[in-house]
Amino acid sequence: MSFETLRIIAAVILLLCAAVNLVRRHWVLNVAVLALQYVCVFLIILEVRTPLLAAIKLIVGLMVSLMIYQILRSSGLIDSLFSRQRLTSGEVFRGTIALLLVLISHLAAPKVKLSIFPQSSELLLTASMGLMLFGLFQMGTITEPLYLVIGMLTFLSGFELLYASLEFSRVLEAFFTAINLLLALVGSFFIVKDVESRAG
Amino acid sequence: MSTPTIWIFLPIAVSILLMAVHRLHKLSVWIAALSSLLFAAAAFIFPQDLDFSMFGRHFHFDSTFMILNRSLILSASQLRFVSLLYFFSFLWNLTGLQFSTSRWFPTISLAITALWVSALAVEPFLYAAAIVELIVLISTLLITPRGEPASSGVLRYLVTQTIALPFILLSGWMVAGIESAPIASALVLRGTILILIGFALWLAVFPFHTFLPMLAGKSHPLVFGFVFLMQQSSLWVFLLKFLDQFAWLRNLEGIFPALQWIGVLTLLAGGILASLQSKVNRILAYLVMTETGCALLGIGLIAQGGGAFLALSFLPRALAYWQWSYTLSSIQKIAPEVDGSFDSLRGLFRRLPFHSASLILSMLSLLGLPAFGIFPAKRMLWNIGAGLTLPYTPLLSLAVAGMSLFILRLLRALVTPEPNTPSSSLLIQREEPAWQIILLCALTLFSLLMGIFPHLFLNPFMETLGAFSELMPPN
Repeated sequence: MSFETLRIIAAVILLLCAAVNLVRRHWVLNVAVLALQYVCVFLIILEVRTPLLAAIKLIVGLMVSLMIYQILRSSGLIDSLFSRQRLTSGEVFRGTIALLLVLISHLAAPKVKLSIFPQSSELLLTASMGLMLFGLFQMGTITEPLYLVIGMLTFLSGFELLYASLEFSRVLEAFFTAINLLLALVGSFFIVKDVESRAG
Repeated sequence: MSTPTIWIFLPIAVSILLMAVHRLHKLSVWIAALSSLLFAAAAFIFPQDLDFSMFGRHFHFDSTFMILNRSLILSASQLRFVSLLYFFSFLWNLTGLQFSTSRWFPTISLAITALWVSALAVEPFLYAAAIVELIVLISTLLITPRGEPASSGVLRYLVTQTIALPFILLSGWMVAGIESAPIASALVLRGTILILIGFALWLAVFPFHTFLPMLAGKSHPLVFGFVFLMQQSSLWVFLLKFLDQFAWLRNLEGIFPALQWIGVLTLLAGGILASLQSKVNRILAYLVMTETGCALLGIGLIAQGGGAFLALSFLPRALAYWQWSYTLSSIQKIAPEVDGSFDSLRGLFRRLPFHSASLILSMLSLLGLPAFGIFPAKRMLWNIGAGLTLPYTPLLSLAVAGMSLFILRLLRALVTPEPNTPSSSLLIQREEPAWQIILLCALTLFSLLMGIFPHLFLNPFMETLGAFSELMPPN
């Protein structure tokens, strides 16, 4: 399998992961899919970064996912991954929106490349715009801390992917790393507060 | 040794040290307050050539600190503003002893101050957007109320500020090397729109302000006052930096009138929404909004002297915020049954006359009432704004009228007792400690002195924005 094919598969899985996080409300599944999302970002970002630098994003992403998983586990909020849940009408609605967002990012990428980001590849633009749109939609429609943080992380991943194709700066990479880790910390803080207030 | 080491890395080191002693609340408050005062005083008196001799030895400080091929530059002309930021940190930490805000307040407040300084010092300055995001994330730990889940205001704040980050970073990339491009080219317009949207989200200008009252209603008044005073003051200066460094931006036709209109509309929205408020806790949000409106109007009028308004208003505004936050926090400590609603404030003047008067006076001070500290700056702004364009005058008047209406409603609530109150309890009851009465009177007196003798108290701050030589050429 060529590297290009691998990247295309990674982009498809990436958008699928973001869609699952938008549609499904199953905490352990969401965290697992978030981790997988970072693996796909790593594969796509290899186009513009050396493997060593790209690995930073992968490691940070996996750490973020692990932090959130640990906090959910210690709060006793993890259900079995295989517990069956019926699709709700909300999930069907969000699924339709997810399809629409994938379609928008796929169709808009060539035009955006032509008019704004000529140096970025179409695949990278599709992936980054898709992530940003999914993140925005999730941030705009959900107030539950875990999903909001996942939305913000998705949005930032999309932006980091886009910005990586435009400019490289070690300082900025360090800032993005700090932002992602701090966001996971803030998310964990919110989840704990949420659990405490429910228990109290 | 370099200036960024002193005013960025040293405070961060102190902040990390404070993490270790955060359980010893009094000690950490004192360390944070005194170190902030020390940093403020040092920045205020530091020589302009960054050279000085002490004990027979000569010291020279570099203004640049290199890190990963990028630099942090803190020139002598920026130190006046740095001293203000640390002074604000000192003021707020000083009150931390009295109120149970958060055990982490000293640590985080000092870190936030150092990060704001670094945001103003980092080169390329667009990277400050990432630092602002870090500050927002740290601030959410403070503004989330204790023992309660994260409110929708906090979440909305986090989201709004995060969305601003790509706008600012992309604007810089988009217009890199644009100096030679013709003005009003598509690229310039695109870059300008990105910058304006980014700042609109950061500064919570109308209509992106919705999280402000939600946050103010839930957070501790002191914490809210501190976080947003630092944020708005630093972001105004950051906006000036954009205008100063990007010639294409400041030369773009219509950019300054656009800023003026954004300012006037935010001011108007703040004034009108304040007039409809019935929760006193939330009013600080509208004060933040109106002050942002004034500042944007001032920046829009920079060529007519708006810069002087900004420079003169930093200190009196901070003192008024502090007085308001302190008084409200103190009222809620003395009378826990006061939940901020007008009903709970009824007749409070008889129980806490000095606190009630302090609430009203701090608002009047922010409104720009003659003789108060911010009056010289506000008078300058009203005169320039109203004299320049006719439509501004009624809109500014409406905004001031809205805020005045709220003050009158608050005054009525404070002095009007409950209808079924027995006549014996209508007498003034003394529930305020003497030292608090002295403190509140001293604050008001200081504000009056600043207003009456601005040349003594405010003129030293005229140099605060001296770093922006392109935008405000020295006379």
